[in-house]
Formats: sequence, structure tokens, C-alpha cells
Amino acid sequence: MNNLAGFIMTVEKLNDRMGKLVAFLVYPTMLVLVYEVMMRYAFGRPTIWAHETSCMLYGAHFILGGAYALRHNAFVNVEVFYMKFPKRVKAIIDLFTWTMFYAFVGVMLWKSLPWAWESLRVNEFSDSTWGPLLWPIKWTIPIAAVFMLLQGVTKTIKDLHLALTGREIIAAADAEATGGN
Amino acid sequence: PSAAADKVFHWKFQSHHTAGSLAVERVIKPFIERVEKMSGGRLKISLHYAGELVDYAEVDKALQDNMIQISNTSTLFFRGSIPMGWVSAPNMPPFITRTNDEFNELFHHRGVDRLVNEALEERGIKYFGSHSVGNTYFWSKKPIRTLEDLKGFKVRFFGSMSDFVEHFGAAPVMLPHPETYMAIATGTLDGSGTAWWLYRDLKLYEVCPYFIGPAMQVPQGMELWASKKAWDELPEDIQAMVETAAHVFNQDYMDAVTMEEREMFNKSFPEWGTTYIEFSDADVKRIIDEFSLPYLDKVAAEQGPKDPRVAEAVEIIKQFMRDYGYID
Amino acid sequence: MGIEMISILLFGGMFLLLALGLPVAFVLGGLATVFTAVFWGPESLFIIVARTFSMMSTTTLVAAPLFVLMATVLERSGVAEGLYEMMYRWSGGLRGGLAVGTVLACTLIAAMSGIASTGVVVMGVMALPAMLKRGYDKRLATGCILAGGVLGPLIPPSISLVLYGTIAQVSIGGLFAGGMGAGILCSFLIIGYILLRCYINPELGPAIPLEERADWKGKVASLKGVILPLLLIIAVLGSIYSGIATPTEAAAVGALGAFVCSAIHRRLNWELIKSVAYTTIQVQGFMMWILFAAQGFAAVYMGLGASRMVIKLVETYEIGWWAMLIGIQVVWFLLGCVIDAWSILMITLPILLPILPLYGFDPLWLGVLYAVNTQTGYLTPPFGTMLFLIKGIAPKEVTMNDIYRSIVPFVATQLVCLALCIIFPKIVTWLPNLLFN
Ligand code: NA
Ligand code: NA
Repeated sequence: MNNLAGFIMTVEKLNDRMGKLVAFLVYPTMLVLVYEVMMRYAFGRPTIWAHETSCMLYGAHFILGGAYALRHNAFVNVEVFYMKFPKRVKAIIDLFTWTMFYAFVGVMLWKSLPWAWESLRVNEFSDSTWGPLLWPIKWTIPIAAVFMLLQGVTKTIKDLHLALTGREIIAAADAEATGGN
Repeated sequence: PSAAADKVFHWKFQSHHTAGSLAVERVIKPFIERVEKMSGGRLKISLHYAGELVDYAEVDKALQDNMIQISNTSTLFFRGSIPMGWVSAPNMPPFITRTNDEFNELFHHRGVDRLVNEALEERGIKYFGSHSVGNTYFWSKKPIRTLEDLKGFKVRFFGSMSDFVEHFGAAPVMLPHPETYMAIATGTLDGSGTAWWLYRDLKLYEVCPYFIGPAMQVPQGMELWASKKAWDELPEDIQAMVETAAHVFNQDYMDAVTMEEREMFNKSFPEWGTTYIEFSDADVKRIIDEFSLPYLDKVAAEQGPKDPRVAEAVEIIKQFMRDYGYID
Repeated sequence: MGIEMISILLFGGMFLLLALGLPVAFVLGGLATVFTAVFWGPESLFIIVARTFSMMSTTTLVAAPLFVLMATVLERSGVAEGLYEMMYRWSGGLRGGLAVGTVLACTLIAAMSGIASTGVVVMGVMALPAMLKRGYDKRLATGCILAGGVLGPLIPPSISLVLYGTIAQVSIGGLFAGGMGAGILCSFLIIGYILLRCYINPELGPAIPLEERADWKGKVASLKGVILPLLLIIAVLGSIYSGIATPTEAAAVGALGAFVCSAIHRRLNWELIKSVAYTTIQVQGFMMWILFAAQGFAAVYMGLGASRMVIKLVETYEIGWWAMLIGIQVVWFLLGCVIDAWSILMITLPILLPILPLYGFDPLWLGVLYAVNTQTGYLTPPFGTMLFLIKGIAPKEVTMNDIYRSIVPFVATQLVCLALCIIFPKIVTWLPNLLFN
């Protein structure tokens, strides 16, 4: 059990780090656009890069932010019926329904990897006038999918443990750790 | 006559046009009907409007995967990964071809389309050639009579056209497309430019009373692509039918945009109160010498090493211009 | 398998998975994936990536995280609280005064942003805690924010109306003017409902107890709380309508402005900068994942032939003028329950366009009716994006059940607005006629 609990905590820590890092992308997104307004309005010299840059930053922000949101249970569900089930039943249901999560995010990883790889291989640029490199933003999708899947696996481990034993894995691990001391 | 002879094929056509647009009503729908009729119902095509299945930027991959089977698009959209996109029809700098016939000659008979075809074939795409989507102009809130008037002109333009106006002191603004109308109305932009019928269809005449020519691209070109996988599955007789229908597609498009452009100039401009202004011959000459030629050379120098076909295409284009007396 | 059967399976699956508590984003994304693989062929699974990446490339949505940021800063730095304290003191004996103020603020926000989520997020973060703190009924408080928030795509600037105008080839300026008329009417109807409801049930939106009511000095003192937010609103709206900035850029200007306000309140510090960024990414993370999963869902549904089915339905029956008009409204409303407003446009408009001249519908008027009608879609279960959005930001005490119930009277109000626009087309058309004829 200790290994599994350790894995869960490692993944959660990893996703916290990642999320808190990516969270700051919102500031350059904001500043780039303010800069564009200033250059165009005050100096009559709009940039060709501001909108595309802000768009890439925002794209990376939300796609990579997914795993952080998942780690903090920010993904909303309809709880009208769900909340009436006991914890163990919920865990059993989730073991089935979360196959949809794996189908979705798994396909996202499977299909985006060769696509991002191809972009890197040909050193793809954007078709815009500015024409920045495109592969860094394309790579955020497979990376986001990996972080998302890792976070999903921690949830499945928790559910499986609860379904089999009726106890929660993290609480159980804590108890074992205390017991060992 | 095997079982394959009676097999019915279903294709998905992803257009980058919206429902009811000129392209859809006058060209794409007749094309789909024609193919279905010619093949006796053995090739059925369903039409999907802009953004319905995949965005314009992902159609190459979608065609390669055979997820969609046919699309009107352009190599320009992929010039970041396909160097030939830089010399595809919509990325021509101003005043290369001046009539529809010249466009036919340059792209269909002098070899530019052949080179684009080679580049696309390598990527699993069946290419049906360039077609006209109408002449390229721009429009403005204030009169632009000379190149001098372009100084400080805030305009939304695309590809090579954006570089052209910037060369003469304009400030190309890269705005999200849905914000263009509002941006011009409030004065964030002074104007925008592309194929003429967007001026009509996006009601930009409500905010831009000046229409500036002469047409800078005659015409602006786009392309018809199909999935190589889907293409290879078709029996030969249906392939021949699609080729024929694609020919008509290209011709239909050119005819429709040419006729409707005349109608807009003659009938709609007086109704809208639009003023048409043209650059002088001297300005046109300046644009070619100071921008178009150096632009082509720059493209050949930058993209030629990645794909020698680009340099070859630039040579064809320059020879064409010499033959027509547009350059020395 | 026919598209009718596929539709039943797809939406049946959606109801089931939603009821079983799977997060919305994974219900939509998972179904899109499975149905693509089974009915469209595994080679088409790239559509999941294609839709994700096109959402990441949608420049007009860049405003979304910036408005979230702006709202969070205003809330954390006490600016929002100051604004609500002012509203509360001035509304004095007026029952539901704060809710009315919230709807007015939503109307102003709708004039700044082209999408629905802005108003919901901004007011969900700022107004909801302020109203709950002062004893407002949580369903009334949630409902008025949702109803006010979805005015965003109706009152210009509006991305839905731009999309409609582009496809139907109707003057976008005209549509904006028409949307303004309908949007203001809708805002008044919501306010009217709140005042009436709180007059009848005072406990829903309690007035300030007599002994606590502020005197004139207290009222005037509270006005200083409104100066900063007011300046910020003027800056954002002013920069849009004077042509200094586009709505997307104005969102950035507004967010920076919010930091300036927090500095003036002496609350700007590293802690604030960090914490608002963390909140923003959480809200943004799940919201955008729902949006692009929904896009994938709609793309698959259309790829499998949804529009062919609707065309067949229309062609099968011969329909009169009123029946057609009401039929369109009913179809829009019902589609609104399960898919987003943009996909509704993509599915139905291509079918409607050829038949509009036959019935003599004014396409501008119909476009505004579309915007009024699909407002409900953001709020109606089972799939109402704004319901999930507000659940994600509301305090824990507000349950999904509360949220579902909160919207009932407000959807009814929106339908009243729709009916008025149908019966009195002048509500929609007089402003466009005035400006453009
Ligand atoms: Na709006
Ligand atoms: Na809904």
C-alpha cells in the first residue's frame, strides 16, 4: 500500500508544481495584449506578433492547466443523483464510468503524439505573417494528456482500493505510517 | 464488372466557407450534385461548412488520415510546413497575373500547378489544381489614392498582401476575424482586404466607403484537394468523373466571381455609395519593382534550399512576367 | 445504423453518464471518442486532437482567462466588496436591491464581452459571496447571475451574432443594434421578476433592517467604494467603443486595471499575484476542457449526419408560417438543452437559409431571435455550460441541485422576452432601421 500511496502523492505534487508554474502564463497573455494596444494606439505601430503570442500562451495555459484542475477536483459533474450514493458505491461506479476518461484522454495522447512529432520533424512554422515556430504549442497537447492520465490513474487507484477494501487508501497509508513509528 | 462496380462511396467535403456563401451555392453544391449524377449515385458527397468537422488548419492531416475525403483549401495555409505554399496562388505578390486567362496560363499550363501537385502528392494528397476565388482588393474608411496614403493605414490583410502594404508604410493588424467588422466600425482598424465578395457578404461597405484597386491579385487562387487514400479506392471510371467535375468546379468558380464582381461594381456600388479608387500606373510599376519582384526573390532564397521546386516556380513566374512585358 | 438510432444512443449515453456523476468534460469527450471510433472509423479519431487544437487557436476566447483574472483580483482586493457595500446601503428598504444591482452590472459586462462565460464568472466570483453574506436566497442569487451573465452573447459585441451575420449574410451592425434592443428588454424583465418576487417573498432578498440603514453620511461615504470599479468599467467600455482596443484587448486592459485598483487599495502584493493566478488556472482548466470536449461532441454528431436528419424532418412536413416560426424556436430551444449555441447555428442555419425567403422571415429579426432563444441553452439541463461553470466557482453550500432549480424562473423570463420579440418585432428592428436606413 505504501508504494501506491507514495505514487499518488508524487503525482499530485508533480501536478501541483506544473499547475502553479503554468498558472503564471496568464500574466504574459495580459501584458502582450496591453502592449499591442499601447503600440497601436499611442505609437501607430501595431505588432504582427501580439495576438498570435497571446493566443499561444492562452492555449498552453488551459490545456496544461487541465491536470491541475483535475487534481483539485475542479471538474464539475452532475451530482443530483450521484451525491445520494454511499462512498463505496461511488467508487465502483467511477471505476466503470472513468473508462470514458481514459478513452478520451488516451486517444488525445495517441493521436497527438505523431502529429506533434511530425511538426517537430519538419520544424513547422505558422502560416501567419509573423510565422513563429508551431511545434512548441503542438507539443503541449501530448504533454497535457500525459499529466492528465497520471492524475486519472491516481483516482482509479483510490477508487479500486475503496471498492475492494471499503477504506480510503491515503487515510490507510497514513495509519500504516503512524503504526510503523 | 465486379462487385466493386456497384459499390457506393461516401465522401465528406469539408469547406472553409459558410452556408449560403457564393462558393457553396454557386460552386460546391453543383459540384457535389454533378459527381453524384455522373456516377449514377455511386459517389455521394456530404457537405460540411467552415469549422464543422475540422478547422482549415487541420485539413491536410484530416485528408491524410482519410477522415474527410475532399476539401477546398490552399497550400498557403500550410506554408509553415510545405515550402511550395509560398508560391501557391493566394500567396502571389501584387500584379503578377492581370486577367483570368493569364492565371490559367501561369498555373495550369506553365507548370506552377504541376510543382504544387508534386509537393502535395508526397504528402498523400490528391490535387485538383488552383482555381479563382475572385480578385483581391482592399477597402478603407478613408480615401487611399496613392502609395503615400498607405502610411499609418491600419489594415487587416493576409499572406503576401500584408507584407505588401507594410512595405509601403501601412500597419498590418492581426486581429481575430470575427472582430474585424466591429474593429473597423469603431476605428481600431482603417480597413481590410481580401477577395472582393467578402466586402459584399460581410457588409463591410457599411463601414468602408472606399474600395481600392486595381485588383492586386487577378484572381486570388485557392485549391481543391482530396485524400489520396480515398482517391485510390475509387474505380477508374469514377476517378475520371471526379476529375471532370473538378475541372468544371474551377471554371464555375471563376465564372461566378467574375460575373458577380461586375454586378457589384455596376449595380451595388451606387446603391451603397461606395467610391472606387485606383492606384496610378506609376504606383503599380513601383509596387512591382519595389515589392513584388524582391518578394519573389526573397521567397526563392529562403524556401528554395528547403524545396528546390520553389526556386523553379519563381523562375517560371518571372519568365511569365517578362513574356508579358510586366518586367524587363 | 441510421442517424436517428445514433442520436438516441448518443444522447441516451450522455444522460446516463451525467447521472452517474462522471465529470461533464469526460462525458462529452469520451462519447465523442467512442462514437467516432465505432461509427466513423478509428482513422478519424484525430478529430479529438483537431478540435482541441482549434480551440487553442481561437483568438476571440483569449478574453476568457483575462476576465476571470480581472474578477478574481477585484474580489480578493476588496474592490468588489466595496462595490456591493455601496449597493447594499443605497438600496436600503428595497427588497432584492443587490440582485438588481448584479443584473445591471451583468448588463454592462455583456456590453464589454462577446461570450456568455464572462458575466457568469465575473459575477459568480464577486457578487455571489456578497449576496450570500447579506442573507440572499442562494437560488435567487445564483439564478440572477446566470440569467444576467448569458446576456453576453445577446448584447453587442457578440460572437454568436457575428457568426450568424457571416453565415446568413446579414448586416452585423444591424444585428448588433437589434441585439441591443432585445438585450435591454431581457435585462429589464429579469429585474422586474426579481423585484416582484422579493416583494412577495421578502426573505429571498432581504432589505436592510430599519435600525441598520445608513444615513446620508454613510451612504455618501460608501460611494468611494464605487469610484474604482466605475472607472474600470469606463476604461474597458470606453476603450472598446472609442476604437482604442478590441473586446479581446479590452479584457487585458481591464485585468491590468484591476491590479491598479488593488494597488490603490494597498492590497497588491506577491501573495495576491500568486493566488489569483492559481484560481484563474483552475477555473480556466476545467472550463476550456468542457468547451473543447463539447466541440468534439458536436463535430462527431455532425460528421455522422445530424444535419441530414434535420433536413429530412423539415422536408417531410408541409408547414405554415406560424408553425414554421414556432417550430424553429422549439428546435433551437431543444437543441439548446444538449449542445452549444454555435453548434446549433452550424446545424440549423444551412437548412433554414434556403427556406427563409419562402416564408418571408426577416433574417435580421430571426438572427436576434436566435440569440435570445439560445441564451436559454446555456442554462438548460442536462448540458448547460454556464451551470457547470458557476458550480465550479460558487461556494460549497450551493449544490448542483440548487443551480438546476435556480434557473427555472429565469429561463421562463427569457422565454417571455422571446415571445415579446416575436409578437412585437419592432423591439428588435426599430434600432437597426433607425441606424441603417
Ligand atoms: Na456582449
Ligand atoms: Na443547455
